[in-house]
Amino acid sequence: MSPRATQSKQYWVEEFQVQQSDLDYLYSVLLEQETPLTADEMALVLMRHRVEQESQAPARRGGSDQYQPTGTYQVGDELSFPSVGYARGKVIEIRPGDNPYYGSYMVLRVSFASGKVLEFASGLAPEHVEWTEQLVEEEESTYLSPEELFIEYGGEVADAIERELEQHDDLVRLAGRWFPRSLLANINSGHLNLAEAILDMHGGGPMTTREIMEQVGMLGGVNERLAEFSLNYGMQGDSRFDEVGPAGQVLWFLARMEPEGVQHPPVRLAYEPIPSDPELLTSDLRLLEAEIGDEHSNLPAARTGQPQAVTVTLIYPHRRSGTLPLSPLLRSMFPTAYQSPRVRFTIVDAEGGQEYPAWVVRPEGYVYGLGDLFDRYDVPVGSYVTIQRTPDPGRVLINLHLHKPRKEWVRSARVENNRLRFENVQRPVGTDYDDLMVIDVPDPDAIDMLWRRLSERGIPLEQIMVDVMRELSASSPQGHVHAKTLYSAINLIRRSPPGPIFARLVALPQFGHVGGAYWRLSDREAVP
Amino acid sequence: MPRPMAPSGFVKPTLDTRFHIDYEWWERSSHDLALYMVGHLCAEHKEQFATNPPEEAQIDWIDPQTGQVLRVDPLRYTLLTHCCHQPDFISGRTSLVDSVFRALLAAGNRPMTPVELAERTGRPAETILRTLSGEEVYRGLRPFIEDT
Repeated sequence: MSPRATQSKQYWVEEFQVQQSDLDYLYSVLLEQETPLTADEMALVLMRHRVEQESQAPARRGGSDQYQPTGTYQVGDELSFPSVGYARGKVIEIRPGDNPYYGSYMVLRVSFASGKVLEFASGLAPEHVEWTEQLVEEEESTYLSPEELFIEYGGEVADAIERELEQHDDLVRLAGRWFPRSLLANINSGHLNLAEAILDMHGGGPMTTREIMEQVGMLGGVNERLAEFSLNYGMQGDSRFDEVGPAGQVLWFLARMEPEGVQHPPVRLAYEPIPSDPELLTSDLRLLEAEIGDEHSNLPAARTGQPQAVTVTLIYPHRRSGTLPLSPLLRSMFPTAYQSPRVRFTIVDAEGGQEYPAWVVRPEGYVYGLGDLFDRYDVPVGSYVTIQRTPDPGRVLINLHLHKPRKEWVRSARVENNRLRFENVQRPVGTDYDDLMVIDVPDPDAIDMLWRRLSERGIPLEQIMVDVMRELSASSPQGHVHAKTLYSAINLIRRSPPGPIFARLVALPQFGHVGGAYWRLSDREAVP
Repeated sequence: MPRPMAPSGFVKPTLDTRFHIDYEWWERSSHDLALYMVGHLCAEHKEQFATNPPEEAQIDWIDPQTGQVLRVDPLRYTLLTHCCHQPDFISGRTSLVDSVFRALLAAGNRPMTPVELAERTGRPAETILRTLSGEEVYRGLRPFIEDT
């Protein structure tokens, strides 16, 4: 006996396609339940429906079009044949049986769509037939339930449904749930103006949709989930509102009341892409680039799933802006909203327990809101910052690796005659840091002025590299400079990911490799 | 619903691949199917056919599980209706290839996977798969290519 098609991986994974009848069914479910559904929920609904359809098909019920050896048929009859996968065949000829052992019976010649012609008995006495409905019933208990099939193949079905639904303008998706546009509750400008006023009264947000609905008492008489979905949809299409919730949570914020550093990237983070050939980088430099994790490096997405903790080393533009680079690794662990470019979350100081509102700004690749924390602990450039997950996707722990401040020799940057100078100074440091990247910046305003001046004059990166390297070389007995030190120092006055800097180190004659990740200026360039 | 994809002849068979007796292979080969069939008869019918050679005429055989009618010669009809129901039709003394052949014969050549054949022959499914997946085709036992 052929197994049911819906029991197979082939049916759900290799051959599954969403048919118009499936869409009609899903539409009717959405209409009936008045509840937006996720693709996973729709996959389960549809898999239950298809399994039920197959189990109740005429062929399964022994209905009139299923071939039975005891039945009698006419030329032209179309039947389904369980022994050939319930394929449908047409009776094209009937001849008398040719075996007295079976008594009086007829033989049907049946033509199938494939062109194959097979013969089947009809009018057979029941004692010659072993195939009964009982056999079908026995198999029933061995079938996987729709829920078990969903566990096995639901992901593929949900993906197929999602792909199909994306083609249909009459369905809308919000925070992973789908609903027919035409069935949404009517959200007018009055509702949206009220929502704006409520958010304004609450400091711009964040607020859940239900909180907003409760405050204004709108959409009475409508299914609560549908009302919530409809208001979400209305607010999503209005630029006054920003959806800022982490994964699975819809939170609203008034766009005009978001911090300036969220609405517009801080100026010191601005990066004008610098052309460079990544093929020039040696494998060591590539590793170094990945280790640094600059948000502008073209690094492959993290494949390690969601890490528990990620450590980054602060460079000046982020220290100055109170931000962190959203490197691929960090991107993979921060709260993620379904479609939101900006996500509001809370950072918790692992040392003091204080909480700070913060934002992930995905398009520009940074995390905003750490300025007060950095200032509080006087965190120097080059410090390690570790971000740890918590069970709540909307909260992360931040560890600045604090210790009792002690005086240490660190590289200090100052501006003199419009040039960047470095000297080693003793200053109290209360955090762990990377020796190669640490830089004390006692006068950030002067650094920023120099940065602005160089930007306005369009000084090329090569020139800045030579100047900075010459200054750094002076504090090293051999004049050797580590690539990471150069990267950290250059970013005081020119925003650049490591790639363009490293590629120029390799390619330009002004720089000579001295081993490891150390470089020096060529003899001619080294003369001030 | 889309039709199931036919297994390709170039795809390596697995434990889920169904095998059958390919009678077209017998027609193309130099082997004598009738002679081989005689070897599967029970002792009683082997003697009977030895003294009274079977007629050429074909007769209906009806698969009791599917209702499908096959036109078979008297020798094969005897195998299907009598010999294959004997308790020693498939035994530990039957070779693996003959056991598989007999299992398929008894089922009216309904294609079966190595796992199903293992249940009927008492041989490990993996061994059956290895034997039937080699370059050499034994007794016309080949993967079943669905075309209906």
